[in-house]
Amino acid sequence: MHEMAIVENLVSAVGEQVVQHKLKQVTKVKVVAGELTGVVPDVLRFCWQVCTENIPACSGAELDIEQKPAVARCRSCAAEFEMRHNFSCPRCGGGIERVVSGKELYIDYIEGE
Amino acid sequence: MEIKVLKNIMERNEDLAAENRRLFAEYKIFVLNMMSSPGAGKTAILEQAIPRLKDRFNMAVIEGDLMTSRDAERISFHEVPVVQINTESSCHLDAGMVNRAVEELELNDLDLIFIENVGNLVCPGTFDLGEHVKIVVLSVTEGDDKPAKYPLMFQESRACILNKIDLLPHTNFDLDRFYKDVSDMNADIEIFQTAAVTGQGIDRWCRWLEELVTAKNGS
Repeated sequence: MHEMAIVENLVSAVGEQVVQHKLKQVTKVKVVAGELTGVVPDVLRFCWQVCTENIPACSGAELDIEQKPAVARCRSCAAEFEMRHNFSCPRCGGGIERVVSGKELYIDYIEGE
Repeated sequence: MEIKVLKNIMERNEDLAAENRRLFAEYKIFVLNMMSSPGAGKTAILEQAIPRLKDRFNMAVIEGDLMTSRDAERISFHEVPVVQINTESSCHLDAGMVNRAVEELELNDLDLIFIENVGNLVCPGTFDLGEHVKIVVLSVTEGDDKPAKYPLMFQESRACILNKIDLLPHTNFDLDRFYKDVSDMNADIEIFQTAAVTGQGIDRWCRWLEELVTAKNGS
């Protein structure tokens, strides 16, 4: 359950945007979370609600979470494949050269006025 | 109004991790972040490794636990400085906690800091502490499926210690499957087999660590 700690970081990052853009009310925060980060969207949304309850500028803002699948590149044939409890290339059986996506954890955009 | 942000959520943690990294560089200290599930043997491995490395390096240990100072007490028996962090409800260490713990250490005297993370195979993987190297400890009694279930840990680590290897005959742990999964997901990972209760395999791991520390610190 590291969602609460992630949301504390998120609240602080959104807060910076609120100040920078002089927002009175944030209505939506769009987050991209890779599968490998182990973030559970429902838990993240719940933590967001709890953490922003007493922050007027963020309270009630929708937290939209886009999950990115874990994708790796094969070290033998360079094909990209989705990791679904398999860590070798479905085409040639090679191992992973590097993870192409799935580790993301960033704020895409926020909406507010 | 839509504001494009494209900012890492963990930026606050990463800023603090960068600060830790600067501090470690300034004092030429090599820092190792040890991760595993609870009971895999992180403390037992340190208890074996510290006496072996004591002549070579000045060491300290940062102990992360939800509660109690039992691990810190075990380590302090070996006469190295120990700082206990009790995270209480938090299931991982973050860079800020390490930053505060480091303040309690006499950095001028140190070559090597071990950070023993909270026992957990998920959450510690997301939090950069400013360490130089992460390692993961797995014990054979946990099962050979753990790398596949918790791939991030094994992908982020430079080494994996497979502990409690003396118990292998009593388990259905499939060594071939474990080696295949781990080396498929991380081509560069070094795997060490140890039995911390008997000291088996610890020398080899200590030599690997010694080389890393020497290469980094130039000592």
